[in-house]
Amino acid sequence: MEMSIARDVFTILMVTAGAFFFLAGTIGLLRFPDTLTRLHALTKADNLGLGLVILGLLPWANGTLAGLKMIFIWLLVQFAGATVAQLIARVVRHGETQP
Amino acid sequence: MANFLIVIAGFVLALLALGLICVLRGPAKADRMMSAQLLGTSGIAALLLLSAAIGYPAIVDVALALALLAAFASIAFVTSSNRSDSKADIADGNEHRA
Amino acid sequence: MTVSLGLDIGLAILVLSVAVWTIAVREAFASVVGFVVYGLLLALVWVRLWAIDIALTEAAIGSGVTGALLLGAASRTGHAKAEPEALTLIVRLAVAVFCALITAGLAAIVFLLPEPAPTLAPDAAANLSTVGVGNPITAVLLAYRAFDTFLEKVVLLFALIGVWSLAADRNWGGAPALWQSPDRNGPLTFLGQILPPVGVVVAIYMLWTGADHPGERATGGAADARGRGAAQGARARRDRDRRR
Repeated sequence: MEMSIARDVFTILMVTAGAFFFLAGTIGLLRFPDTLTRLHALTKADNLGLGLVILGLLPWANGTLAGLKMIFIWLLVQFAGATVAQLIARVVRHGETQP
Repeated sequence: MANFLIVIAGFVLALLALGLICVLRGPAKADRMMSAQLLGTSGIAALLLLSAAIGYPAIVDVALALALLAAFASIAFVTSSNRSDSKADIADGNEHRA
Repeated sequence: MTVSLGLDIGLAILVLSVAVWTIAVREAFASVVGFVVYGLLLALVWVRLWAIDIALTEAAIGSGVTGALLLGAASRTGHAKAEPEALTLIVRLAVAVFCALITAGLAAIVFLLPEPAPTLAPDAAANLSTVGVGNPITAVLLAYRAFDTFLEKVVLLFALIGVWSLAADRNWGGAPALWQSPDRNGPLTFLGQILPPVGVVVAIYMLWTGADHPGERATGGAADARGRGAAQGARARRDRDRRR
């Protein structure tokens, strides 16, 4: 009985924290003045929010393989997101140096 | 618990809508390229929350496909922008091939 | 269940707004971005309609592959902003009426389907044990209509060979090659080295799970193709770097 209450509390805490980081990322997206700063807010805050949400959902996964799949998704998003942020920043810089 | 997860999924989608309004409006190309990234993380979060709330594990596979394809879409946006910006390189490449 | 109803209504409004924006925006690149966003949101809608295989196909082909094709077309037409020649009001009205009629026709077909709709689904499901897979969609694609799936690949291959052989070089841009300046340690090359193996593994996984759970050989194919495209871009970049 305590295990299921503890599990529920853990999930609610983690998912709420993740949603808070999504909110912070979106506020940053809306309020930051520049493309580069908005890119920063988007990739960092949203990825962290996703990680917390996945952490909160791990107790509900359908077995070890499903849990590993969710962690793999998060790693893929982290990896691709970081590299794509670099690429988009290059596009911005390239646009600024072009006449 | 299922209701709570669906409420959070709806919240994430509402944030996605707000983010899309801001990102798609941005005057530069680079602003719009960020939409694939935004969709990737928010969409995956919403899908995973739905999967846990409904109890249907196959939705996680859709989240996996979405992760891969958001990455590929972002790469496609960036390379198409580079391609149309460097027309001089294209002429150079044609000379190499000819 | 008012919570999920609110979620569905919000999602529907979002999809419609993105679709309207895609049509209304004036630049080709922006509308392609809108199209890709619309496709990925539509995948979410399919999930809510319990059609997981279609969601996978929509994400992979509807927004991934078609988006890449549209991006290629948009970038080849140059920086031209979409300023059409002045269409008269009569032409615009005629187009609007025509589109409305097509929409009404599709809606009528959907709403006026006989109950129960004529379908071969029970027969397909009844013979699953002889085919050996658990997912009826996979059974249709890979077993009952296997010739269809196989031959469409052959048709595409012939079309590609035809274009490669018969089209003048200046008309189609040549075989996939690099476009931007070579950058051996750049992030794009890095992605081109890491993502294709991941894409191949995910593609095989999708095909494998598609046997019994919703999975999709089209998603597998699309992920594989995109991975190869990225790898080819990176390899061509490396070759050109050596040539210089």
